[in-house]
Formats: sequence, C-alpha cells, structure tokens
Amino acid sequence: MSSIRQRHTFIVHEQFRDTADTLKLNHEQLSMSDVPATRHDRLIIDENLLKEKELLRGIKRLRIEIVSPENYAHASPFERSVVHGTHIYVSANEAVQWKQLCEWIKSAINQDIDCIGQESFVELPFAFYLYSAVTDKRQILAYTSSTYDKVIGEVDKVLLADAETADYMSFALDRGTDDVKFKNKLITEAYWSQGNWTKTILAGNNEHRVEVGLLGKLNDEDDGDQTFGGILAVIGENEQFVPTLFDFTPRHRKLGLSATYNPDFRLPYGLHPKHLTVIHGDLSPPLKKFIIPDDEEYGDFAGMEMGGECKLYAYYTLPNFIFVDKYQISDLAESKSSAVKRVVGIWGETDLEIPVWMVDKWGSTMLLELEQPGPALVPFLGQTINLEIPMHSRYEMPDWKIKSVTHPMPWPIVFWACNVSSESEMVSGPFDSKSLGIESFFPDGTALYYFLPNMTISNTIDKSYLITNLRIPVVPLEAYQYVEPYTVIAIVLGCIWIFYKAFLGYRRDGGISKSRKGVPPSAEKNEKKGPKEE
Amino acid sequence: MMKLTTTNLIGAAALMRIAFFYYGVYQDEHAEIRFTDIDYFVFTDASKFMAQGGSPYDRATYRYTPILAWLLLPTTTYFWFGKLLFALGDIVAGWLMLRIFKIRGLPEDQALRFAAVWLLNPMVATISTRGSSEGLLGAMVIALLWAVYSRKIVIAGALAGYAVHFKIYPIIYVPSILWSLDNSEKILGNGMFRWVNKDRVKFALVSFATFVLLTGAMYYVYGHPFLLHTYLHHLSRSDHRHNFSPYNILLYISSIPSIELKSTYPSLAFIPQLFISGVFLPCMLAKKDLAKTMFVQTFAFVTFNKVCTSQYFMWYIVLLPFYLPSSAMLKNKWLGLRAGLLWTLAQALWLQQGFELEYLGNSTFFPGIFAATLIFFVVNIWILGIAVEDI
Repeated sequence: MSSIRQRHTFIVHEQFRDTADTLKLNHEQLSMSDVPATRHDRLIIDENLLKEKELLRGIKRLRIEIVSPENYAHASPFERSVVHGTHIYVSANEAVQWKQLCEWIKSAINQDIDCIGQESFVELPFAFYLYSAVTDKRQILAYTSSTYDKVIGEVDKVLLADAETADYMSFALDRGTDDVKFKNKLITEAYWSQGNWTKTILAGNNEHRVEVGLLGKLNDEDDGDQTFGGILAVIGENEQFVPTLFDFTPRHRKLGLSATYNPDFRLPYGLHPKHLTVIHGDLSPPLKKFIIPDDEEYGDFAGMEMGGECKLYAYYTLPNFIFVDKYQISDLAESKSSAVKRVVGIWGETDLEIPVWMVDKWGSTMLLELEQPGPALVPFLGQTINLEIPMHSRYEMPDWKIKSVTHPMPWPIVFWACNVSSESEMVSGPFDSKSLGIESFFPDGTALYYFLPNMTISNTIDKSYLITNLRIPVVPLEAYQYVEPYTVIAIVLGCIWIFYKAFLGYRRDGGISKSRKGVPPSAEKNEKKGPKEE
Repeated sequence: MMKLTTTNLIGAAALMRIAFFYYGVYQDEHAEIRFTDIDYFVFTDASKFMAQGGSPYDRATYRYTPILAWLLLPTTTYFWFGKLLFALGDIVAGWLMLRIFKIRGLPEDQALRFAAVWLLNPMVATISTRGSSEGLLGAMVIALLWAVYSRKIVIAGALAGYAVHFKIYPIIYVPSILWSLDNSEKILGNGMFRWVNKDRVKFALVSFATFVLLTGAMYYVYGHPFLLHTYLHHLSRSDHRHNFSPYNILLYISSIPSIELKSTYPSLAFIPQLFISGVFLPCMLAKKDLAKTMFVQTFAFVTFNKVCTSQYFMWYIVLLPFYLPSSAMLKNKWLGLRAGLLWTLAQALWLQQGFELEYLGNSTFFPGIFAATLIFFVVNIWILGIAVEDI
C-alpha cells in the first residue's frame, strides 16, 4: 500500500452530467474549472513519515479538529455536527509528555490556545480533551507546510493553501484500531461546504496515490441509507474516469428543517444566567424499534429486531468563564418539570467557588439525556421542548475602564442517539468518520441524528455564528485607587472609635474591675456580672 | 394575655419552630426557591458519605468538622433529623440563657422577656429550620457561658475546646473567661503570679486538651482534607459575594493575579480584628461583666472580619439578651430604635446593590456595594461603640 493516499471528493448537487463533462483528465493531471461543489479532501499518511515521533510516544489515539463558527451547511454525507473551535483529544496508553505536548500545540496549532500541561485538559471517559474557541488555521497550515515540505511535495502545498478556507479540518491518528486502512496512519481531512473549484491536481506515484471523485447523491432522504454515484479516477493510473455507484449506512445524519433548536441566555443576565434551548419541530424519534412478528410468512426475517431505539441528548461545551453546579443539575434530572431526564456526565472543572484565573482547565462539558415528548397531539404542528439549564459565571478578571466582559459560548449540540442493527454496516462507507468525538460517548453501532441550528432567532451579534455571548459584570480597576485607602481609613477610624469608647467607660468606672465608683445605686446594680463567687 | 412563664416561653419557641419546619417542607415541594438552605444538603450528603465509610470531605464545599456530619448521621434514615437537632439547639440555648439570668440575679419576668429576644426571634427560628448549623453553635456558646457562671470549670473547659474545634472564632472567649475567673484559690502565691489560680489553670488545661484531642482525632482519621476544609479554607477565603464586610471589594481587586494591584492590607486584617475582639475588649471589660463582654467581642469580631454573611449575625444575636438589660439602648428607647433601624437599613442597602449585581448583571461593585459595605461598617462601629462604653 502506498504510504501516502490523497483523495479529493467533489459532491455536485445539480447538473452532474454537464459538470462531469468539464473535467479534463490525462496521464499527468486532472483539471477542473469553476465547478460548484461541496469538497472533501482526505490525506492518509503512514506514521513513519511523521516528524513528531517523540511527542506522539505513549499516545494511543489523537484527534485535532478545527471547526468554523459559521453555520455552514453539512451536506450529505458529511452531516457530522461539531462544536466550533479547536478540539484536541488525546487518549494515551503510557505516560504522555503533557508539557511538551502543550508547547507543541501552542507553536504548531495556535499560540492563543491556553495549555500548560495535563491540568489544562478535561478528562472525558474516552480521552483527555482540550477545547479552545480559536479557529484560525493559518498557523497549523504554515507548520504543516514547512514541516512536511519534502513529504507531500509541491503540488499538495497548493492544495493546502485551500485549507485556510475550509469549514472543517481534522487530523487523526489511531494506533488502536483494527482497521488496516487506518491503523498507525495520520488521517487529515478538510471539508468545504461549498465553493467554485478551479483546480489542477497532479498525478502521484508509487508511494503517493492521488484519487479524485466527482459524485452526486442519488437518493432523497437524509436519514436513511445513502446512495452516491459518479466518476472516479486515480490520477496517473486511470486514463479515463471510472464510473462508480455505492451505498452505505451513515453514522451521522441530520434531521432536516423539520427539527431545529435555538439556545440563548435569558435576560437579565446576572451572575447566575439561565440558559434556555428551545427545541422545536418534529420531535418524534427518527427510528423506532419493532420486532417482525414471528410468523412463517416473514421467512428469514421472522422474529427479527428492526429499526433502533433512540434517546434524545444535549451536549454542552462550557469554557471556564461559565459552569454548572452538578448538584443543581442532578436535582433537575429528578424534577418532573424539567426537560432533563438524566445526567450522563459533567466533566472538567466544576468547582463552585474559584475565580476564573485560578482554573487550570479550559472549562467543562456536560452530556444530558432529555425527556422525549410523547406523540404529538396534532401531527404536523410540531412540538417544543424548553430546555433550561441554570448556569453560573465565575468571578471574572477585572480590567481598566470596563465594567463588564463578554465571553462567547458555543451552541450546544442537540441530537438523537439510536442504536442500529449492525455496526459493520456503518463502517463500510467511504466517508465514515469514527474517531474521538461525541460519538465516543456511545457504544459502537450508534447512529447520531443532529438537530439543525435555527438561526432566525439568534442573538444579534454575529448573526451567522453558532455562538451565544454572555456579558459578565466586573469591577473597573480605576476603583482601586479609592477602595484601598478608604477601606483602610474606615478600619483605622473604627478601631480608634472603639478605643475611645472603651476609654470613656474605663474613666467612668475608674478601672477595669467590677466595682463601679461614683454610680448611684439602682435596681440593675444587683445584677451579678460575673461567675459565681467561690 | 397568656402569662409569660418559662414553660410558656419554651413551648411557644418550640411551636414556632415546628410551624416554620412544616412551612419549609411545603415551600420545598411547591415553590421554585427552596426554603431549606443549600448547606443542609451539603451536611446531609457529607453524612451519607460518612455512613458509607467514606470521608465527609468527599462532598464539595463541606467546610466543617467531621463531628457535624457524625452528629447528622441519623439523617440517612430520617432526612430532617438535622433540622430538629438545630432547632433543639436553639431551645436549649434559650433555656440555659434563663439559667444564666437566674445566676446573675435578674428578676424572672425580665429574664423571660430578654430570652424571648432569642427564643421567639423569627430570624433565629428561620435559620435553624432552614437547616443552617448556627443554632447549634449558639447552644454551645451559651452552654459554655452557663458552665462558667455555674463555676463548673471542667465542663466549661471541655465546651470551650469543643466550640473552638467546631468553629475557630470562640477562641476569643478564652481570654475573657480566663480574665474573669477571679476569686479562686491562688496557686503561685501573692506575688507577680498571683493571677495564676486553680480555676484559670483548670480551664486553660481542659480547653486546650479537649481541642487537641478532638482536632488530633479528626486529623488522624481524615488527614489533610480535614485541616484544609475545616480551618485553612476559612483563613484564606476571599469570598466577595454575599459579603457585607468592608474588605469585600478590596479582596476582589487584590485577589486578581496582577502585580501592581496587590494590597498587603487584606493579610493584615486579622490584626485589628483579633486585637480588639481577643485582647483589648476582654482586658478592658471581662472583669466587669463576662456575658456582655462576650457579646461585644463577638460583635467586634464579625464587624472587623474579612467575610461577613448574614449567618454570622447569629453569633452575636445569641449573646444579645445578656447585653440588653440595663443597656443604654433600652434606657433610651430612641437610641435602641435608631440602632436597630440603621442596622437593618444598611443591610437592605447592601442587599439591593447585591441584587442588582447578581440577578440583573449590573456592575454595582463600585461605588454601590463598596459604599454599602462601608456604611454598614460605620453603623456597626457606632453600635459597638455604644455597647462598649455601656459595659
């Protein structure tokens, strides 16, 4: 097998035949001009070629994802929804050099990522996870291009430059998989939801396989098996395009416009904001489990379980300026009036008291199972779930001249997780992306159906971004010039006053003992002021 | 009008607490804001962990001695046992108050009225029935005072050691008590050490031994988390929320990691606090009137503390009934009324600013909350000054 496999897939949504005709293929290259398509690139590099061997020692699985904050379209078959930002998952089987890893992350991926060591990562059940809101890909692309200069050659550098505009990018290494295609290989992926592509893709060689496909989706549904057809070519090997047709069971699916969600913080914001996610539309589970009657007429299918059982989930990414009280959330799960059915887990920094500058971790994540609404009273009218989560903001760093800071919180992901009949069906597809991510919370054989973000009623800042902003009040540091002296003066004057008052009493009574000289006798005098006499 | 007798008073106090308790159960079930204090769930969770053989410190924000979780072990069977225990503590405190009044020679009808300030105080009853442990502490302090007044020195020493182990601040009572224990057999002759007498030595030794025993035992069983959560946390905490203290905003600003804004004053705050409440006031006043001294000491301690929440007020309210008889505030009704009103209004001002911040998200830190804390401090100093001169 060649040590480098490069694949470009262009998904065309209309006029496939005409578009296919404009592609020019010969022994040395493929060129296309102004092709409107969804594009997905995948580069598989053998681990031997990696330069970061020392750093990767002890790491069993690694995934780095950089996701654009825009609400970009997730065209089939790339429906997987990922929270925007930079995600780094590390699953280790030996001691990892965390400090060096952090240094590498800051120098190779993005210097604005806060990473000091293992303490910056959140421990999820399947990996250590670091999240950052940054999405700038230029630093990592420059790093890749300079470090892997000789490996991927000139031609790929041109294509790498495209990656700067990609909606999604991922680098994954899996040493634990059984799949020979992916074991001990670095898999780099990039996805552009749309573009007009004018490209010349050069042929590879024995060690470096370059494949291009132009495909179109052949069935209409978004949520069942998908069928794609089109033309493929391995440049350098194929003189002509090879027609292709295949279907597969996607692991990640989207629910379509009928089911959407929209999160926001309720006003007034305060220090304990309530986060409300309104989930609306057709809320019936995408799959239902049913058993084929155990009857001869169904032949081999008799008694078989079909479909799947679905549960509804919400996954929150909470950077460290905001957090949830785990006791409060478990109360919600127990309460009958809350949309929360069960807390699957809260991972990361959940301390209720420390200020934001004392938090090592980047924040926390929370996965909740939600109550499923019963069947809709009136079909076609849609149902609504109001998912309200009480959150708290941490004490914030104050600054000069400002009275509040604003922080972005990424939208949660709302989805159904359904266990389908067979895992093997799902991995047979050429676009299956099973690596570290939300799917890792669920057993193999789980298909995820994502609700679509409803952008029509989002907050007014950054209308197309899947971000909710939270404004947190802080003290303006100019106050310090008054606070310190006035506090000290108040304390000192308070002390002096007390000394003075005690002195007055001392003078009146002529001393510190019980006998009060010069005070006329009265009823209270008989009251004994101290312990019994012996 | 029912005659005010001991039985009636205690009975009314008990009934009041029972009523509040059942109201609390109702509000917990039916309203959005719970009646029961969040601390109560912290205690009961800690007891649960303890019952399962673990440590109470497995429960985040449990910052007390393991003895409290141990006392509340029955809550694993009957959840509200803790509230009953705290309410009972209130009542025991009230009853012991009456015993102390008797020793002090205050006529019974007056004693009953002043004890009612504690026993029939709705704020006190609410705090206990909400599940806050301050009532238990009040009982300990009154029991300590009673033991001293009854000249049961060994018991007093044990109670003092126990109270300090429970919550650090009762240590300020030790100098007062020692100072007031005149009239006992001298041990070291009549010369320079004539102040060393039997009672003082007994009290000092027993309280020290009790404290060391309890703390040592807890450390032995629970190790470092015990020291960290029960003591060290309180010494270094810098809460600036729900904090009436004048140091509030200074603590917020100087706790941020910035070199130019570090203030040395917060770390020095304990100096005026401990000097006034633990040295100066006992020295000047303990020989004149022990109970009243303990009241002003506590009031000073809370006023000068870096952190002050409404629960801390309970610490001196339990001693207020001893101050009131023959106090300037009662002799001059307007003075007393003004004091009470200003104290309440200053708190209300703070609460209003705090509400703006916490629920409306407005940055009222400065001048809002800062000014409110200073105003509250000034009111407290004024009240403290009156009381100190009065004794």
